[in-house]
Amino acid sequence: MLSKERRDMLDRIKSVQFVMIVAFISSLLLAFIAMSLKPRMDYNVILDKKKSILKSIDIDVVGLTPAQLDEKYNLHIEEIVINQAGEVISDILLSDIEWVEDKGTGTTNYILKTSDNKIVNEYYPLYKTSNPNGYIIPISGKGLWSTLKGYFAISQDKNSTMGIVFYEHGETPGLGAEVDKPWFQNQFKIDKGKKIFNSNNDLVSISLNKKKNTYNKPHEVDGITGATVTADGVTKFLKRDLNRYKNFLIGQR
Amino acid sequence: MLRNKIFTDPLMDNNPITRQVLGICSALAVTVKVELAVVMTLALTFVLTMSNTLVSIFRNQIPHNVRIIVQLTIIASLVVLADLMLKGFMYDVSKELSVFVALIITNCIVLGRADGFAMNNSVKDSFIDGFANSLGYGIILVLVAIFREFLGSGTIYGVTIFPESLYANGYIDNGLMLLAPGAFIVLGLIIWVQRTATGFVEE
Repeated sequence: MLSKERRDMLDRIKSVQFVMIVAFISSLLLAFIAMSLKPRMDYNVILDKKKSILKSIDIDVVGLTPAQLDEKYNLHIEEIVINQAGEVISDILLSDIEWVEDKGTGTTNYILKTSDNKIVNEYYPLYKTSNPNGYIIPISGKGLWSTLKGYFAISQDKNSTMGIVFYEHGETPGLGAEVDKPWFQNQFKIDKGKKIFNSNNDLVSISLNKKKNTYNKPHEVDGITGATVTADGVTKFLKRDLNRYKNFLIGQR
Repeated sequence: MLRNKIFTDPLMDNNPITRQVLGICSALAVTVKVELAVVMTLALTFVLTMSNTLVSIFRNQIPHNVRIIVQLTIIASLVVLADLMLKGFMYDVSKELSVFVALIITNCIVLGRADGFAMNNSVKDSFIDGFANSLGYGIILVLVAIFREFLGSGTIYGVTIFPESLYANGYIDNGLMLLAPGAFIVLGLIIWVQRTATGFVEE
């Protein structure tokens, strides 16, 4: 007959053993499933980005199969890379650039993967579209709760806005999340005549205005009632991100 | 307990949401659209039915002093599994559900059924109990979502209900229904109707 202490001790060891076995089996199982689904998930993320890029230039993507979407994307979009000076660099591919989010500001830092010393924010991704003619610029930054990530489309004159789309954010539904709504995004359509440069050729970007009656102001759109922080955030990071492409946008117009 | 009662109890008389008032967090968060509510229900059905079954299978092996840890490990693994599956096969929906699938781990219904029922009942009964409780949860979730999507966006399961001319004549969707307070109001009304019908009074 074992003493009481000895029995308790054995009980405890048994409990620990049991928990370890359960933890081991479940982690093994999950790791295996996560690994085998990884390519699928990565593909979904890329597909989702392509969808947003097409949406930013007003191409209908509703109900497309992945293959159709890929086809449409390849038909309309040409991926290019530019440097800070605004020149198109043809020997660097878009896939050579790694997108790393700065958690503090929500800014995306573009790191050249292929170089040895990891050059940061010297080369920027850009999407050229042929129909309608123009360029699409990735944008990202903080709103109220979250980082908003999206695309901003600009016409071939490198001045008139063509569209805006967000593919990732965690803003309040009904308030900040209104950035997903047609009434908001339609304000950036080409027929609204919004411009990012003023008459002095300064990059003034587009700001989200709290007061209404923005329809005849070329550098303002209606903000979102009850979502001042989100709107101010978008205003801020739109200008900041466009500034990175300033040399490209100003040159050869 | 009779098998029939194990199945029908969670649907009405002992509904996890309206009667036990559990799982309210997700009931508020994912009921803006019917589609989200349906997918959330499917995810919870998978987790709850599986966790109940697994816990019941091992109920005699699980050491009593660490049972909650073991149950949580099983539940957490199933939730991560469901989340991965959604990300892999229903990416758009998983984007909209965001953290709420992961938060099934903290859904009181799941741990409540695992510890309260599956630890003391046969595998078959636990399976039925898990499934029935998910169904009870899902019925309320979809019901709330139908009201919210209809009043808040003018659609049901993405299908537009109101004609365009109604909006042209000045009809505006009720924005309150898209926010959490709208869900509270709908849920409160459902609980009221149910308690009036069954004559149940909280003691």
